[in-house]
Amino acid sequence: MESELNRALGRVDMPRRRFVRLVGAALVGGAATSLLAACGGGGAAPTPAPAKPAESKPAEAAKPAESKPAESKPAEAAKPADKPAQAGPVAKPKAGASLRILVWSHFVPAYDEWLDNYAKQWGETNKVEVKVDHIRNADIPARLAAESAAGAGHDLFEFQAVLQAATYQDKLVDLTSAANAVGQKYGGWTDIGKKFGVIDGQWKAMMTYAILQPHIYRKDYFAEVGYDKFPDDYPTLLEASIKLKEKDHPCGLPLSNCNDGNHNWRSVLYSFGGAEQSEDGKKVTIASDETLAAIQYGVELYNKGMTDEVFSWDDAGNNRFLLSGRGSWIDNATSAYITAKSQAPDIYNNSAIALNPTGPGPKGGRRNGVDANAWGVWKWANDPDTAIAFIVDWYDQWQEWGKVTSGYNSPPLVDMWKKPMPGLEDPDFKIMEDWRELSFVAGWQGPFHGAIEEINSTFVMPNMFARAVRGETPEAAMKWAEGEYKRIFQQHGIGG
Amino acid sequence: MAALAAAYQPRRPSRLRHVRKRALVYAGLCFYAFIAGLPVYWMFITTFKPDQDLYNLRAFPLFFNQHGVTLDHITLLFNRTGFVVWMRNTLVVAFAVVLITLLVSVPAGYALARLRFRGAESLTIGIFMTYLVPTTLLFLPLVKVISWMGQFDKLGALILAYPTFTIPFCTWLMAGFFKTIPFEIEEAAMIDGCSRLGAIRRVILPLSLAGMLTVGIFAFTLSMQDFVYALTFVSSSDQKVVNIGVVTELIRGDVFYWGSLMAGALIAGVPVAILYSFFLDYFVKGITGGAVK
Amino acid sequence: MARPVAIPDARGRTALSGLHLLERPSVLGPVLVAPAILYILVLVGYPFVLAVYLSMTNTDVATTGLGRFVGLDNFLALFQTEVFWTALRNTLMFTLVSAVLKGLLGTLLAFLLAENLPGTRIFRFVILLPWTIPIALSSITWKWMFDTQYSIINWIGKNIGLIQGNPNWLGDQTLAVISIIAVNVWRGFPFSAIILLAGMASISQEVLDAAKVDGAGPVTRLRKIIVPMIAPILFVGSLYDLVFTMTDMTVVYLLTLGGPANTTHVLASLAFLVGVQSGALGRGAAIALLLLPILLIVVFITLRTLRRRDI
Repeated sequence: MESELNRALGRVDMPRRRFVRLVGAALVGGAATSLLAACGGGGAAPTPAPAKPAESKPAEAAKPAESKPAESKPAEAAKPADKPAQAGPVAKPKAGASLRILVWSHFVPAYDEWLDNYAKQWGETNKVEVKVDHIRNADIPARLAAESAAGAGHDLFEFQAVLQAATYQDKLVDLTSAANAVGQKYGGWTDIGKKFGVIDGQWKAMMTYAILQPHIYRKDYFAEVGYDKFPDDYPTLLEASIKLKEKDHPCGLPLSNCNDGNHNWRSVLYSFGGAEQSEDGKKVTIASDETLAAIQYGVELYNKGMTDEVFSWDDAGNNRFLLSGRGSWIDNATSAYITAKSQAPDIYNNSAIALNPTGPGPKGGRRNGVDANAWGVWKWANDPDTAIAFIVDWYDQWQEWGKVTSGYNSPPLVDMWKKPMPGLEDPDFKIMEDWRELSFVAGWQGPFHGAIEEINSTFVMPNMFARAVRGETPEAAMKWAEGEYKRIFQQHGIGG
Repeated sequence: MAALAAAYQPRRPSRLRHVRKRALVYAGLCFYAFIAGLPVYWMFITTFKPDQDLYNLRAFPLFFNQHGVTLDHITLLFNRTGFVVWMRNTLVVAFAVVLITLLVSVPAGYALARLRFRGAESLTIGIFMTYLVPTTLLFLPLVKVISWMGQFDKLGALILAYPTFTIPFCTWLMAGFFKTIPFEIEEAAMIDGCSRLGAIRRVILPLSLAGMLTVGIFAFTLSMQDFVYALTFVSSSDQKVVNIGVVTELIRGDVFYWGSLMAGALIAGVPVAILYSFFLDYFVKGITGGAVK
Repeated sequence: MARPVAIPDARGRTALSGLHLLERPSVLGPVLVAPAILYILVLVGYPFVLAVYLSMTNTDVATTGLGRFVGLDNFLALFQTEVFWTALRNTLMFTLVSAVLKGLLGTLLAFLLAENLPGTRIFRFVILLPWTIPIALSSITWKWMFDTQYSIINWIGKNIGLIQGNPNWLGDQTLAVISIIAVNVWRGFPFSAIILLAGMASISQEVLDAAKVDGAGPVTRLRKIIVPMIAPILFVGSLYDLVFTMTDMTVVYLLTLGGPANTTHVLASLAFLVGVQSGALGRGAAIALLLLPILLIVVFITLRTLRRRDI
């Protein structure tokens, strides 16, 4: 099957593109190998390839007793990484090992093709049997639960938006040395990368990328009602939305049980200054004047700017809404915009991407609720070092995956944010280069922990707004949400 | 079936009444066919319609439009996903489940229906009760058993798991069928010199072929209907069954490949319907021609 | 009566003595049932006991071992949430309303098909489609048909003047409930018809003919002859269907995921969301476990109703 798929994908690829990628990967890979060799072995190993098969034999022979030593390896590897300023070989892939990777079906399909090819090449280079499985993002939590119960399945996987590193911390390999190495190489992790990656002082998950949620709007419709660009603050956005709906061009933020609903409404809440919990993640702070203001704003925006279809949207609802030509603006990852390019060129030409507006009030600001993904390695992985080595090498490909996703994959490390960023060459996309300080994941102002996970996956946030829109008073909706937050915090053993 | 239906023909209808009745029956059938067929027709149209027309609010939705007919969605399904493998897996799982189900439920059904032994009554109820245990409750603990048997993320996981709901139900169904076979037939065979096992083999089993067929069909359908187990036990592309494969790989949150999704549903669903139609006829005939008179 | 010694076949004595035991119902019975029992014990019994225990612990999806015992806390906490009661009400309502509709539609259909007019085979093939297409795939199809903008139902409805405006099938609370029931009914009515048709075929034609001669109309024939005679098949069929509908989460999971504002959750989908998506395995198990008593009650009522008519 895998080979069939690859063949099919290969057929689709332009031969030249593929060649460039191969060369690129070879160059990067070669550079990385020689760098590693230089640090580890005094720089006298320009041809590491022939040495590997010889090494692999004893490694294979040691297989029966592999599980325990494998677990202890990251700790050993931590020592060289502690030496400052040198990204030492954190982990070496073991020749003959197998590596099974679980990722989501990426919203930009080109990335899946790229990753499959890259993984295949990586496997060939390192004599590792690599297999990548893609599943629907919504099904990942169930799948991880099953793998956790079975103590089997994949070796390496990617959390998608539901970042359960805290839940699974006991079953995840400590990635501290790898995270430190990668961090040192690229100027340190961004704030959100640190926020959910580190659990009790250990790196349990390494952020792969964030998915920014810019506002995608119709330039022509906004011009029609007198705005030459997307409004820069929420009150003006409301004014514009009212005028747009009168022209039969409503806007839309999903008020349904879907992930877009989760972060879309967090953008509103955070921008108004409403916070879910205290900085230490111990206290629920959802009930506040700022939250109330945000809910009131949401109700007004719904009543005057949207239609009831937002109640039934799934994650793709707002995309179709924009692609149909009716919608005036949505808050969504750029995938909608990228899809428009091929499916509806007219709409693409008349659309643009805008920064998150600023919220009013003393605590108001420009804060965008984003999704983030992260690598995790199961403790029962066939060979954790191989998985870690794959991860570390994957970060070196950041230019590549930035390009194939047109910047949809927003990088997790500070140095990767130097302009110009790969994939954002389109002048329209330029503004996303300024997004680093705007990005917030669920659970602001505290860390992303187990209780926040549950709040996220039971859609408390969009439902708080939905209840107010459906007729409850904003106070009652907020009180309901506070009750849910406190109940869930309590059930996770957090004070609340 | 034909013989059966003949029984429903009015004896001496006046010509007018006859025609009116026929018209009414056809009208009723058309109504049902419309309800049942509309979603399938919609699958069909979506499968072959290019995206530009599919997402054009001004295009006439019930038929093809200016961009005509496309095979892109089907090509995508066959070339870029593991659809063929999923179909094969589905069949492998379904047939294996049917086999296991028959091997286990036919003897059990016979014993519960026709043999008096201690605890038979409570066993009957007990077995059926297991059908009531919701899959949502079972699947995580079941994961442990499955992985203990070394079948996690393999087709074997589904082959092992599906009989948990086919066996209870089919055992009951078989028991029901065995009950409809008059005791006298079996007794007569035994008086004629057959042992009980001989009577089972020569008389009872042939008479309950239709029942077994029904059970087989049910087990087959049931194993194609599951979603939860398939969703959680298997995630390797090459081990997926078709309903999970189509849903998990063609919905990418933001992007629904409606054309290919509908193509997958159509190609997976329609052949089964044909098979079903064929067996249904046999099944009904089997009963009418069988022992029950 | 069954005297195996009398078997005239040329069988060896030793084989006979082994078989001899099997001739006794008290031996043959358990032997024939054993595989089923074994299967159920290992793959249902054990996980079930584990699940019951889990429902009384604070286990989450990542817990190794069995977690901490918390007694009935999970259940008590559950009863305090609004969404649980919504899910409970929905589970009952979806199942019962769709069962009644399926029964009515299926019965009428069975009579229409039994007329066996020319072309019935084609009609039957089309009408069977909803039942044979895997539920996940048809749910997705319906989701597409209920789309807010591209809904074919709205388009047809508007063009024949049945629908005004743009009903939001999955976004309006009432409509979403109707939509979910509609999908369940659409999927299940062919099955009701098949069961009835098969049952009707098993009734001797003389009885029906005699009844007809006596002037019994279709309704009387159904009520007085067909239903009592096919009660066992009917019972198994309707139970199968009830259980399937009641424990199914696919339709809700794929159509609304419980929305809008958590008004369309059923116990199965809620259990999945809490127990798996959120990782709170213990509480998820508690929700799923509460399906059991409800199922038992429904089964009991069904059994009683049908038994009363039975033989």
